[in-house]
Amino acid sequence: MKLRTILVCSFAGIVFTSSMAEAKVISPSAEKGENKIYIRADGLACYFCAYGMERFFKQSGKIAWYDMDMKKGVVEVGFIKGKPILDVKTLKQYVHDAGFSPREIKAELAGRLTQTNDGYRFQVTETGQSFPVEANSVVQETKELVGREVILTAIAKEAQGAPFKLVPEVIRPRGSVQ
Amino acid sequence: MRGVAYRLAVAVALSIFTVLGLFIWLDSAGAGDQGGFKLVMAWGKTGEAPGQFREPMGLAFDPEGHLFVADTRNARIQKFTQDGDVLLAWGRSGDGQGEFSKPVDVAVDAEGNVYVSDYDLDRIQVFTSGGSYLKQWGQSGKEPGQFTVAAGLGIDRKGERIYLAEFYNKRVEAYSLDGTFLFQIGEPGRVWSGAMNYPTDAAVGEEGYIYVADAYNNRIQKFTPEGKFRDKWGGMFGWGIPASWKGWFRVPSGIAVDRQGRIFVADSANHRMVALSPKGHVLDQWDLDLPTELFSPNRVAVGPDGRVFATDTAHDRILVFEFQSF
Repeated sequence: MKLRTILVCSFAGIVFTSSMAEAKVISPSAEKGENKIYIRADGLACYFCAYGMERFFKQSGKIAWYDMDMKKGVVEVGFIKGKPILDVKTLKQYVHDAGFSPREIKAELAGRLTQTNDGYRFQVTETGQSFPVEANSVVQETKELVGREVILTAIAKEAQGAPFKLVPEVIRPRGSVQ
Repeated sequence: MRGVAYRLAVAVALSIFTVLGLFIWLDSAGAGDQGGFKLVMAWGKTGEAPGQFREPMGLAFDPEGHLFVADTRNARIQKFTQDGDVLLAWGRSGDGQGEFSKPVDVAVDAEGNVYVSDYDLDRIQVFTSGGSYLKQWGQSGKEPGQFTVAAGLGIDRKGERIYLAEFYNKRVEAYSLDGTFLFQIGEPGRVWSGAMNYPTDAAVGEEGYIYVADAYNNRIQKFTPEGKFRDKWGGMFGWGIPASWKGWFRVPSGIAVDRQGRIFVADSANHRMVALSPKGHVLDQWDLDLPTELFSPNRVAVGPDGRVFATDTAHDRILVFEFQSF
């Protein structure tokens, strides 16, 4: 578990934060939230495309900032505090409209993992949104964190009746060092 | 029997490779050395003070030789001497008159009026050369006379028309200088003559021919003043195959034409400048001297003395070249 956590965190750190030195502010007056989405897309290239992504994000009215690593093909999106997290379909549509081919979407969310009769769910503290969670090995290995405030890193997949379904990669206690 | 078939297949494959190689060689072969870039100056650094930039994009000269630069991320236009001394800066972030969200290109008419396209706001604003607001036009949309991201501007030498390279509508539109829609050039598509895929810039030569940086078709296209297709260059017979070979392009984002009809291209994903003869033969190419992941150089303009200016957007600076004829 530890090795896996270290590997995944390292991957996330390297892929998602390197050469993302200066995030682009979309809503200067809005307070930044703590939830983030990472979109992996093909075709991220020139400034014109990057500006296109920014334009569509701005139109959504929910995004505080974004950053783009053109070489690695990853866009990092930060939501305005309290604004609901966009569903996978909408996010993919923004990326597509901006001229890219969306691939994987990952979410880094702060909230509480809960167990219900239907399985696991994740409730985002800031927005109150609740998403279904796949009970994979990561969940099984971190059962002691159920009910506690955690940071969840997960692949976001399209789901019926919910903005997305979360497939956890890392679950760590809130406040712990990544 | 199987041996014969195998030999036949090898022979056919070799023939195809030979013919294809010959085509590529013929396509990339230039007209020989007829001139060359010489970097003579570079100015600018990252910042918000006058003379500094944050992602400079479009640039253009007025008839008096002043250089105007769209300082995109600073949401302003800056005016310079040809030696890089800043004379004036105007604009601020906003959507009111004289304000910008993302100014991405500038063009100047014969009277010195400055036309600025705004990426986010889908409008063209017109200013005096002193930065005073004159007028604006533009409406978002896909219909004729509307645009979604006018990424590049080009004004003809007669001062009658302005051409807008429309990034998301994948076409070029011609307007009169008062903003009246005239006609459309090209249509969305790949490979075929006149088809466009995210064009980013337009330039007009002495005889009124329109040159389009058809960025994501990785080629340059040439049209008559009436908008009829005339020629295409890059990516094997102008089909738009991206590569770094001589005469091929990868996201050519900026274009300008000098008085001799030579065409200068900011071949941004290849990180180089390319000069073409009026017939599209490569005269020279110059590679960016700094490592970058981003697409740069980005835009190009020809000064009144024939020097070539380019925005190195990734490094917040202006590059100045002499193009020497041998």
